[in-house]
Amino acid sequence: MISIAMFNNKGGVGKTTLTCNLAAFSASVKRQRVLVVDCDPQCNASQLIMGEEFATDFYWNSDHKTSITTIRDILRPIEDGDSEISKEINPILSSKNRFEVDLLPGHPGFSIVEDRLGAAWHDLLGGDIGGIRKNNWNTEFCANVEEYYDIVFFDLGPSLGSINRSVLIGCDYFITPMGADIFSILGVRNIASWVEHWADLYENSIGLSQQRNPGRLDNYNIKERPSVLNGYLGYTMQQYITKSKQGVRRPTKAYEQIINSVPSIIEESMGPFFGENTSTESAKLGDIPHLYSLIPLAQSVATPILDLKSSDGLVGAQYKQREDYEEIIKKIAKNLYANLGESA
Amino acid sequence: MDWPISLVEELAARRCIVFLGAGASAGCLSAMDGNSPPTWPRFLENLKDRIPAPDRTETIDSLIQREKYLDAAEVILNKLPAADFTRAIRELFVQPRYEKSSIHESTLEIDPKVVVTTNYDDIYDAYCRTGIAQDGYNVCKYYEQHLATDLRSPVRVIVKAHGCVNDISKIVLSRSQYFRAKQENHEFYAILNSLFMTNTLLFLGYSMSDPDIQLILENSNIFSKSTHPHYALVGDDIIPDIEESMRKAYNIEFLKYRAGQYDEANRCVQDLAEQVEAMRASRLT
Repeated sequence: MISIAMFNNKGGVGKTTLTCNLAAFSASVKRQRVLVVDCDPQCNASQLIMGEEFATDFYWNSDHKTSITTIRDILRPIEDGDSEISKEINPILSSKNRFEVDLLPGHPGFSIVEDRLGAAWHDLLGGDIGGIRKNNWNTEFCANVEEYYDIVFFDLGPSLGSINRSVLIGCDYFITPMGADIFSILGVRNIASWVEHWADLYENSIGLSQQRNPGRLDNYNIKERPSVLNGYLGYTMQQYITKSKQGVRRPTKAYEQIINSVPSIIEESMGPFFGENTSTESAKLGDIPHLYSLIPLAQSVATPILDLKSSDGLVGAQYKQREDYEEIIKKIAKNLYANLGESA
Repeated sequence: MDWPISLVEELAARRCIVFLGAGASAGCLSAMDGNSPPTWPRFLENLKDRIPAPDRTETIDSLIQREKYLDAAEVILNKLPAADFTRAIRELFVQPRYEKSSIHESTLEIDPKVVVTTNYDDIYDAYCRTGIAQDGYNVCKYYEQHLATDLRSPVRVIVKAHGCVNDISKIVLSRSQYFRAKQENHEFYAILNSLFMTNTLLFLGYSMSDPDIQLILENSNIFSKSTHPHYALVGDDIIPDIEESMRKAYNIEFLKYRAGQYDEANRCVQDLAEQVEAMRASRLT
């Protein structure tokens, strides 16, 4: 099983759309067993995959008990002060949604665990085993679902906080979807220095703990070194709406400069995290064009873009746009799987 | 050439009807031999050559030469056996299996609610209706009854105002045929006229001497007092007097590319499609 965190420090870059559609592609085309874990308290992925009606029923009328567990349920023991996570994992099954993926839904209350994990980070810095275990909740979670899935996508919110840090500690790989604006590109720089900073402290703390209590960490699923340090798989770029003249697209000058500088910014900031099959060239997974009205339509019917049909309300040029998107997601998937060292 | 911003706006809001003439198909290449569908003079020449020798008068040549295509068509159809006409249409428009043109691609991207074409070929309709998209586009020929229904539904409509290669007996080519068609299909033409009066029209791939645009302009009420003109993309070899009189008579504004530079014309239409997309994106329509 491989685990991939989808992450950018800037919101609104099409991250959730990409995550869910890529996950659907892995499931339907690659025939993989896929789990999407919604770690963003804004729950966009849960809403997209399950649809608004389900979401309303699930989150608003939540007094009637369901057996489905959210990410908050998984971390409830940690919220309550334990160092363990719940082993009871009941995702929404792939047969219940059009993305054909299992979904561990998010929860707005998940942000509460931010403080717990923040405090646990301080314990970790002191070499405390409890703190180390809490920050490895996702290492443990991945071990618990290992035998059921081929690939797990984690959809993260845009903060550089303790939740996202702990998700990354447990993941093998990460991807940074980027929008066509300077802030999402600057965001990549933030991510790089943030990861470098905490990963350094993390490794030291593990060393400290092992020194003090030799062998004790072996009893738990603990990462000695975060895999994401060699797990950057690349980025996608959302295309900018250009004014064009005589068929030549003309981005604004400032934007053109930004676009041209992206590969070097990526190399400079993310280069140290490249996986063994990733290079500056291959890190560019693909460009995502502006999809205009296709995104709101796909959201309103909780469907992967590739699966949109006439009965979902496709009209006119949207048919062609859907077809174009198929090529785009194929290309991104091909590059992604190549960077994972697999043939597409 | 700059597209007027009001045209871009009207297309973005789907308040503009795109008209496709012979020039829109002229850029299509045959999958068999790499040829393109004939232009009007070549088409009429071809028909003329099929007329039995004694009837092949010089009058026809002279009419074609003087670009009196409607009259030439009238004479030709009087003398050409119907079976030979059918054969000609099949040979010229169906059998070569033409691929879509650049103008077809741009038109699909512009995504108007209504496309009217006077072309007989089915290249654009077949391109639009690829795969599951066949649910999204309806083709309405002038003798069919569902135009009003199509207009009120979410489907995109492709109106074939002069008929289609899949029913050659109903193809309209000459003035008298057009009158008969109008006589027999009141309702269709009433709807078409109301569309012309209430929408902006953009003519792509027409030359002002084309017989089909003459039929449309002479017999439809496209002029209505409005500060918003209709538009036509034409070569810059249009005769200034004709341009002026068309502008006055039909409220058409001419946008010009260098005559014969069809790549330039294609780029202009691509550019228009991109501007329309960009405007829709920025306004979320």
